[in-house]
Amino acid sequence: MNKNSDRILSAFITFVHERLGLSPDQVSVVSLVVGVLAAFLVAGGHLEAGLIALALSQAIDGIDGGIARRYGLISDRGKTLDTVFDRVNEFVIFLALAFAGFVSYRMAALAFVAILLVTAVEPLSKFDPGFKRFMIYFGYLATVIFHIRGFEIALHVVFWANLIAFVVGTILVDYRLQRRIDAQAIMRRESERASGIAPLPEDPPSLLSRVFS
Amino acid sequence: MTIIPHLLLTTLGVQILGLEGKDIVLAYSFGYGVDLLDHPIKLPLYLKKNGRKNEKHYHWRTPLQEPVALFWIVPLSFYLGTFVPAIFFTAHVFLDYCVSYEKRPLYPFSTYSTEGFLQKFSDTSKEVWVCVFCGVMCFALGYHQVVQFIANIFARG
Repeated sequence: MNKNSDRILSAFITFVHERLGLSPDQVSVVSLVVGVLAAFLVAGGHLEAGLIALALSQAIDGIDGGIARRYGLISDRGKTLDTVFDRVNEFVIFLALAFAGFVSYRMAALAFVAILLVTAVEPLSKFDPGFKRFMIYFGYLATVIFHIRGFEIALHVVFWANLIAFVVGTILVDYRLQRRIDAQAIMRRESERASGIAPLPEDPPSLLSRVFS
Repeated sequence: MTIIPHLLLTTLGVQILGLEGKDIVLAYSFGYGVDLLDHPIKLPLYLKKNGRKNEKHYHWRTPLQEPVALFWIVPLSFYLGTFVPAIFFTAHVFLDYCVSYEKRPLYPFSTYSTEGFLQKFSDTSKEVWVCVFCGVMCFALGYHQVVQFIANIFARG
Protein backbone atom coordinates (compact mmCIF):
# COMPACT_ATOMS: atom_id res chain seq x y z
CA MET A 1 0.00 0.00 0.00
CA ASN A 2 2.75 2.44 0.99
CA LYS A 3 4.83 1.57 -2.07
CA ASN A 4 1.78 2.01 -4.30
CA SER A 5 0.95 5.40 -2.83
CA ASP A 6 4.62 6.41 -3.09
CA ARG A 7 4.58 5.56 -6.80
CA ILE A 8 1.36 7.53 -7.38
CA LEU A 9 2.64 10.52 -5.39
CA SER A 10 6.22 10.24 -6.67
CA ALA A 11 6.29 13.60 -8.45
CA PHE A 12 4.78 15.38 -5.43
CA ILE A 13 7.25 13.72 -3.07
CA THR A 14 10.17 14.97 -5.17
CA PHE A 15 8.67 18.44 -5.51
CA VAL A 16 7.80 18.89 -1.84
CA HIS A 17 11.13 17.67 -0.49
CA GLU A 18 13.65 18.78 -3.14
CA ARG A 19 12.06 21.98 -4.43
CA LEU A 20 10.18 23.22 -1.36
CA GLY A 21 12.71 21.75 1.08
CA LEU A 22 10.10 20.45 3.50
CA SER A 23 10.94 17.64 5.94
CA PRO A 24 8.44 14.81 6.66
CA ASP A 25 7.53 16.40 10.02
CA GLN A 26 6.84 19.74 8.38
CA VAL A 27 4.63 18.02 5.80
CA SER A 28 2.77 16.31 8.68
CA VAL A 29 2.11 19.74 10.21
CA VAL A 30 0.79 21.04 6.87
CA SER A 31 -1.50 17.98 6.66
CA LEU A 32 -2.79 18.70 10.17
CA VAL A 33 -3.46 22.36 9.37
CA VAL A 34 -5.36 21.47 6.18
CA GLY A 35 -7.32 18.80 8.10
CA VAL A 36 -8.32 21.32 10.78
CA LEU A 37 -9.31 23.75 8.02
CA ALA A 38 -11.49 20.98 6.52
CA ALA A 39 -13.18 20.53 9.90
CA PHE A 40 -13.89 24.28 10.17
CA LEU A 41 -15.38 24.25 6.65
CA VAL A 42 -17.64 21.27 7.47
CA ALA A 43 -18.70 22.82 10.79
CA GLY A 44 -19.45 26.08 8.97
CA GLY A 45 -21.82 24.33 6.57
CA HIS A 46 -19.46 24.16 3.57
CA LEU A 47 -19.61 20.38 3.35
CA GLU A 48 -18.24 19.84 -0.17
CA ALA A 49 -15.38 22.30 0.31
CA GLY A 50 -14.61 20.66 3.64
CA LEU A 51 -14.46 17.20 2.11
CA ILE A 52 -12.16 18.42 -0.67
CA ALA A 53 -9.88 19.93 1.99
CA LEU A 54 -10.05 16.64 3.90
CA ALA A 55 -9.01 14.71 0.78
CA LEU A 56 -6.15 17.17 0.26
CA SER A 57 -5.09 16.69 3.89
CA GLN A 58 -5.03 12.91 3.41
CA ALA A 59 -3.02 13.22 0.19
CA ILE A 60 -0.47 15.41 1.99
CA ASP A 61 -0.49 12.87 4.81
CA GLY A 62 0.61 10.27 2.26
CA ILE A 63 3.50 12.45 1.11
CA ASP A 64 5.25 12.74 4.50
CA GLY A 65 5.69 8.98 4.76
CA GLY A 66 6.81 8.83 1.12
CA ILE A 67 9.52 11.44 1.74
CA ALA A 68 10.66 9.62 4.88
CA ARG A 69 10.91 6.29 3.04
CA ARG A 70 12.56 7.58 -0.11
CA TYR A 71 15.14 9.82 1.57
CA GLY A 72 15.88 7.58 4.55
CA LEU A 73 14.33 9.97 7.07
CA ILE A 74 12.19 7.42 8.92
CA SER A 75 12.22 8.00 12.67
CA ASP A 76 10.13 6.88 15.65
CA ARG A 77 9.43 10.51 16.47
CA GLY A 78 8.12 11.08 12.95
CA LYS A 79 5.87 8.02 13.14
CA THR A 80 4.49 9.12 16.52
CA LEU A 81 3.91 12.65 15.24
CA ASP A 82 2.13 11.29 12.16
CA THR A 83 -0.12 9.07 14.29
CA VAL A 84 -0.95 11.87 16.76
CA PHE A 85 -1.78 14.29 13.93
CA ASP A 86 -3.94 11.65 12.23
CA ARG A 87 -5.92 11.18 15.43
CA VAL A 88 -6.29 14.95 15.90
CA ASN A 89 -7.52 15.22 12.30
CA GLU A 90 -10.09 12.46 12.89
CA PHE A 91 -11.19 14.03 16.16
CA VAL A 92 -11.80 17.46 14.64
CA ILE A 93 -13.57 16.17 11.54
CA PHE A 94 -15.87 13.91 13.62
CA LEU A 95 -16.54 16.86 15.94
CA ALA A 96 -17.28 19.06 12.94
CA LEU A 97 -19.73 16.50 11.53
CA ALA A 98 -21.48 16.38 14.91
CA PHE A 99 -21.50 20.19 15.22
CA ALA A 100 -23.03 20.48 11.73
CA GLY A 101 -25.73 17.96 12.70
CA PHE A 102 -24.68 15.18 10.31
CA VAL A 103 -23.96 12.75 13.14
CA SER A 104 -24.75 12.56 16.85
CA TYR A 105 -22.05 13.62 19.34
CA ARG A 106 -22.42 10.18 20.96
CA MET A 107 -21.64 8.35 17.72
CA ALA A 108 -18.72 10.67 16.93
CA ALA A 109 -17.24 10.05 20.39
CA LEU A 110 -17.72 6.26 20.18
CA ALA A 111 -16.15 6.05 16.71
CA PHE A 112 -13.18 8.07 17.92
CA VAL A 113 -12.74 5.92 21.05
CA ALA A 114 -12.75 2.79 18.87
CA ILE A 115 -10.04 4.33 16.65
CA LEU A 116 -7.97 5.14 19.76
CA LEU A 117 -8.24 1.51 20.89
CA VAL A 118 -6.89 0.25 17.57
CA THR A 119 -4.12 2.86 17.69
CA ALA A 120 -3.11 1.49 21.11
CA VAL A 121 -2.90 -2.15 20.05
CA GLU A 122 -1.79 -1.80 16.40
CA PRO A 123 1.96 -1.44 17.12
CA LEU A 124 1.77 -4.86 18.85
CA SER A 125 -0.71 -6.67 16.62
CA LYS A 126 0.25 -5.07 13.27
CA PHE A 127 -3.45 -5.24 12.45
CA ASP A 128 -5.39 -2.16 11.44
CA PRO A 129 -8.48 -2.32 9.17
CA GLY A 130 -7.97 1.29 8.07
CA PHE A 131 -11.65 2.26 8.43
CA LYS A 132 -11.20 5.83 9.58
CA ARG A 133 -11.49 9.20 7.80
CA PHE A 134 -11.84 7.41 4.46
CA MET A 135 -15.33 6.21 5.44
CA ILE A 136 -16.53 9.82 5.54
CA TYR A 137 -16.53 9.96 1.73
CA PHE A 138 -18.79 6.89 1.62
CA GLY A 139 -21.01 8.66 4.14
CA TYR A 140 -21.22 11.64 1.83
CA LEU A 141 -22.05 9.46 -1.20
CA ALA A 142 -24.75 7.61 0.77
CA THR A 143 -26.23 10.94 1.89
CA VAL A 144 -26.28 12.39 -1.62
CA ILE A 145 -27.41 9.27 -3.51
CA PHE A 146 -29.83 7.63 -1.08
CA HIS A 147 -30.85 10.69 0.98
CA ILE A 148 -30.13 8.90 4.26
CA ARG A 149 -27.97 9.84 7.25
CA GLY A 150 -24.90 8.50 5.49
CA PHE A 151 -22.34 10.06 7.83
CA GLU A 152 -24.04 8.47 10.83
CA ILE A 153 -23.91 5.07 9.09
CA ALA A 154 -20.26 5.68 8.17
CA LEU A 155 -19.40 6.29 11.83
CA HIS A 156 -21.27 3.14 12.86
CA VAL A 157 -19.03 1.24 10.40
CA VAL A 158 -15.94 3.00 11.78
CA PHE A 159 -16.99 2.08 15.33
CA TRP A 160 -17.64 -1.60 14.60
CA ALA A 161 -14.64 -2.10 12.33
CA ASN A 162 -12.25 -0.60 14.85
CA LEU A 163 -13.82 -2.26 17.88
CA ILE A 164 -13.56 -5.68 16.21
CA ALA A 165 -10.01 -4.87 15.09
CA PHE A 166 -9.09 -4.09 18.70
CA VAL A 167 -10.53 -7.39 19.93
CA VAL A 168 -8.85 -9.36 17.15
CA GLY A 169 -5.59 -7.45 17.73
CA THR A 170 -5.44 -8.29 21.45
CA ILE A 171 -6.23 -11.95 20.72
CA LEU A 172 -3.54 -12.10 18.00
CA VAL A 173 -0.86 -10.73 20.32
CA ASP A 174 -1.85 -13.14 23.08
CA TYR A 175 -1.97 -16.09 20.65
CA ARG A 176 1.55 -15.32 19.40
CA LEU A 177 2.84 -15.13 22.99
CA GLN A 178 1.22 -18.46 23.88
CA ARG A 179 2.70 -20.06 20.75
CA ARG A 180 6.20 -18.91 21.81
CA ILE A 181 5.67 -20.16 25.39
CA ASP A 182 4.41 -23.54 24.13
CA ALA A 183 7.28 -23.85 21.64
CA GLN A 184 9.79 -23.32 24.48
CA ALA A 185 7.98 -25.91 26.64
CA ILE A 186 8.01 -28.43 23.79
CA MET A 187 11.74 -27.84 23.16
CA ARG A 188 12.49 -28.24 26.88
CA ARG A 189 10.48 -31.47 26.98
CA GLU A 190 12.27 -32.81 23.90
CA SER A 191 15.72 -31.99 25.31
CA GLU A 192 14.81 -33.62 28.66
CA ARG A 193 13.62 -36.71 26.81
CA ALA A 194 16.89 -36.79 24.81
CA SER A 195 18.85 -36.54 28.10
CA GLY A 196 16.96 -39.52 29.50
CA ILE A 197 15.02 -37.53 32.11
CA ALA A 198 11.65 -39.12 32.81
CA PRO A 199 8.68 -36.98 31.68
CA LEU A 200 6.41 -35.43 34.31
CA PRO A 201 3.29 -37.49 35.07
CA GLU A 202 0.13 -36.39 33.29
CA ASP A 203 -2.32 -34.27 35.32
CA PRO A 204 -5.41 -36.19 36.47
CA PRO A 205 -8.42 -35.63 34.19
CA SER A 206 -10.75 -32.82 35.17
CA LEU A 207 -14.36 -33.45 36.14
CA LEU A 208 -15.57 -32.17 32.78
CA SER A 209 -13.23 -34.34 30.74
CA ARG A 210 -14.35 -37.32 32.83
CA VAL A 211 -17.98 -36.45 32.14
CA PHE A 212 -17.53 -35.94 28.40
CA SER A 213 -15.04 -38.71 27.68
CA MET B 1 -14.32 -21.21 37.23
CA THR B 2 -16.29 -23.93 35.53
CA ILE B 3 -19.64 -23.76 33.77
CA ILE B 4 -22.01 -24.15 36.71
CA PRO B 5 -20.94 -21.18 38.90
CA HIS B 6 -20.92 -18.85 35.88
CA LEU B 7 -24.37 -19.98 34.81
CA LEU B 8 -25.77 -19.70 38.34
CA LEU B 9 -24.29 -16.24 38.96
CA THR B 10 -25.55 -14.99 35.58
CA THR B 11 -29.01 -16.40 36.29
CA LEU B 12 -28.98 -14.79 39.71
CA GLY B 13 -27.97 -11.45 38.16
CA VAL B 14 -30.76 -11.71 35.57
CA GLN B 15 -33.26 -12.38 38.35
CA ILE B 16 -32.04 -9.61 40.65
CA LEU B 17 -31.97 -6.99 37.89
CA GLY B 18 -35.29 -8.20 36.46
CA LEU B 19 -33.90 -8.27 32.91
CA GLU B 20 -36.05 -8.95 29.89
CA GLY B 21 -35.69 -9.47 26.14
CA LYS B 22 -32.34 -8.62 24.56
CA ASP B 23 -30.84 -7.78 27.96
CA ILE B 24 -31.12 -11.45 28.94
CA VAL B 25 -29.27 -12.44 25.76
CA LEU B 26 -26.55 -9.87 26.51
CA ALA B 27 -26.33 -11.03 30.14
CA TYR B 28 -25.76 -14.68 29.20
CA SER B 29 -23.43 -13.72 26.32
CA PHE B 30 -21.13 -11.65 28.52
CA GLY B 31 -21.70 -13.52 31.80
CA TYR B 32 -21.13 -16.93 30.30
CA GLY B 33 -20.96 -17.07 26.48
CA VAL B 34 -17.59 -15.35 26.42
CA ASP B 35 -16.13 -18.59 27.85
CA LEU B 36 -17.48 -20.64 24.94
CA LEU B 37 -15.91 -18.26 22.45
CA ASP B 38 -12.64 -17.82 24.31
CA HIS B 39 -11.37 -21.31 25.06
CA PRO B 40 -11.63 -22.80 21.53
CA ILE B 41 -9.24 -20.10 20.30
CA LYS B 42 -6.33 -21.76 22.08
CA LEU B 43 -7.45 -25.31 21.37
CA PRO B 44 -5.08 -25.74 18.37
CA LEU B 45 -2.13 -24.63 20.53
CA TYR B 46 -3.14 -26.96 23.35
CA LEU B 47 -3.47 -29.94 21.00
CA LYS B 48 -0.11 -29.15 19.42
CA LYS B 49 1.57 -29.08 22.83
CA ASN B 50 -0.23 -31.85 24.69
CA GLY B 51 -2.20 -33.89 22.20
CA ARG B 52 -4.96 -35.55 24.23
CA LYS B 53 -3.00 -35.48 27.47
CA ASN B 54 -4.45 -33.44 30.31
CA GLU B 55 -2.56 -30.32 31.47
CA LYS B 56 -4.52 -28.82 34.32
CA HIS B 57 -2.98 -25.36 34.42
CA TYR B 58 -2.69 -24.70 30.68
CA HIS B 59 -3.27 -21.02 29.86
CA TRP B 60 -6.55 -21.28 28.00
CA ARG B 61 -7.51 -17.67 28.48
CA THR B 62 -7.22 -14.93 25.89
CA PRO B 63 -7.75 -11.17 26.42
CA LEU B 64 -11.37 -11.84 25.50
CA GLN B 65 -12.12 -12.68 29.13
CA GLU B 66 -9.54 -10.60 30.94
CA PRO B 67 -10.21 -7.17 32.50
CA VAL B 68 -8.47 -5.62 29.47
CA ALA B 69 -11.64 -6.53 27.51
CA LEU B 70 -13.48 -3.80 29.42
CA PHE B 71 -11.67 -1.37 27.08
CA TRP B 72 -14.03 -2.54 24.33
CA ILE B 73 -16.98 -3.77 26.39
CA VAL B 74 -17.58 -0.38 28.06
CA PRO B 75 -17.75 1.50 24.70
CA LEU B 76 -19.95 -1.31 23.39
CA SER B 77 -22.24 -0.85 26.40
CA PHE B 78 -22.51 2.87 25.62
CA TYR B 79 -23.23 2.00 21.99
CA LEU B 80 -25.97 -0.46 22.94
CA GLY B 81 -27.36 1.92 25.54
CA THR B 82 -27.25 -0.66 28.33
CA PHE B 83 -24.60 -1.52 30.90
CA VAL B 84 -25.65 -5.17 31.06
CA PRO B 85 -22.57 -6.37 29.06
CA ALA B 86 -20.13 -4.52 31.35
CA ILE B 87 -21.87 -5.64 34.56
CA PHE B 88 -22.12 -9.32 33.64
CA PHE B 89 -18.64 -9.44 32.15
CA THR B 90 -17.25 -7.96 35.39
CA ALA B 91 -19.10 -10.65 37.35
CA HIS B 92 -17.62 -13.30 35.05
CA VAL B 93 -14.09 -11.97 35.53
CA PHE B 94 -14.63 -11.76 39.30
CA LEU B 95 -15.44 -15.47 39.48
CA ASP B 96 -12.47 -16.37 37.27
CA TYR B 97 -10.13 -14.38 39.49
CA CYS B 98 -11.31 -16.38 42.51
CA VAL B 99 -9.63 -19.53 41.17
CA SER B 100 -5.92 -20.08 41.00
CA TYR B 101 -5.12 -20.32 37.28
CA GLU B 102 -2.62 -17.87 35.80
CA LYS B 103 -4.20 -14.70 34.40
CA ARG B 104 -2.76 -11.79 32.45
CA PRO B 105 -5.25 -9.05 33.31
CA LEU B 106 -3.88 -6.29 31.09
CA TYR B 107 -2.09 -8.21 28.36
CA PRO B 108 -1.04 -7.11 25.72
CA PHE B 109 -0.52 -3.71 27.38
CA SER B 110 1.20 -5.18 30.44
CA THR B 111 2.89 -8.54 31.04
CA TYR B 112 1.79 -8.54 34.69
CA SER B 113 0.34 -11.91 35.63
CA THR B 114 -1.49 -13.06 38.74
CA GLU B 115 -3.22 -16.09 40.19
CA GLY B 116 -6.09 -13.99 41.49
CA PHE B 117 -7.31 -13.60 45.04
CA LEU B 118 -8.53 -15.82 47.91
CA GLN B 119 -5.61 -18.17 47.27
CA LYS B 120 -5.76 -19.54 50.84
CA PHE B 121 -8.84 -21.56 49.91
CA SER B 122 -9.00 -24.43 47.45
CA ASP B 123 -10.57 -23.85 44.03
CA THR B 124 -13.08 -26.64 44.62
CA SER B 125 -14.29 -25.17 47.92
CA LYS B 126 -14.71 -21.74 46.31
CA GLU B 127 -16.70 -23.23 43.43
CA VAL B 128 -18.91 -25.16 45.86
CA TRP B 129 -19.57 -22.05 47.97
CA VAL B 130 -20.42 -19.94 44.90
CA CYS B 131 -22.72 -22.69 43.59
CA VAL B 132 -24.47 -23.08 46.94
CA PHE B 133 -24.90 -19.33 47.46
CA CYS B 134 -26.10 -18.61 43.90
CA GLY B 135 -28.24 -21.75 43.79
CA VAL B 136 -30.02 -20.90 47.05
CA MET B 137 -30.50 -17.27 46.01
CA CYS B 138 -31.82 -18.27 42.58
CA PHE B 139 -34.25 -20.67 44.19
CA ALA B 140 -35.33 -18.11 46.79
CA LEU B 141 -35.92 -15.41 44.18
CA GLY B 142 -37.59 -17.82 41.79
CA TYR B 143 -39.75 -19.26 44.55
CA HIS B 144 -40.85 -15.75 45.52
CA GLN B 145 -41.83 -15.01 41.89
CA VAL B 146 -43.77 -18.26 41.58
CA VAL B 147 -45.63 -17.57 44.81
CA GLN B 148 -46.41 -14.03 43.65
CA PHE B 149 -47.61 -15.35 40.28
CA ILE B 150 -49.96 -17.84 41.96
CA ALA B 151 -51.15 -15.18 44.39
CA ASN B 152 -51.97 -12.87 41.46
CA ILE B 153 -54.03 -15.62 39.80
CA PHE B 154 -56.04 -16.13 42.99
CA ALA B 155 -56.41 -12.38 43.46
CA ARG B 156 -57.90 -12.07 39.94
CA GLY B 157 -60.18 -15.03 40.60
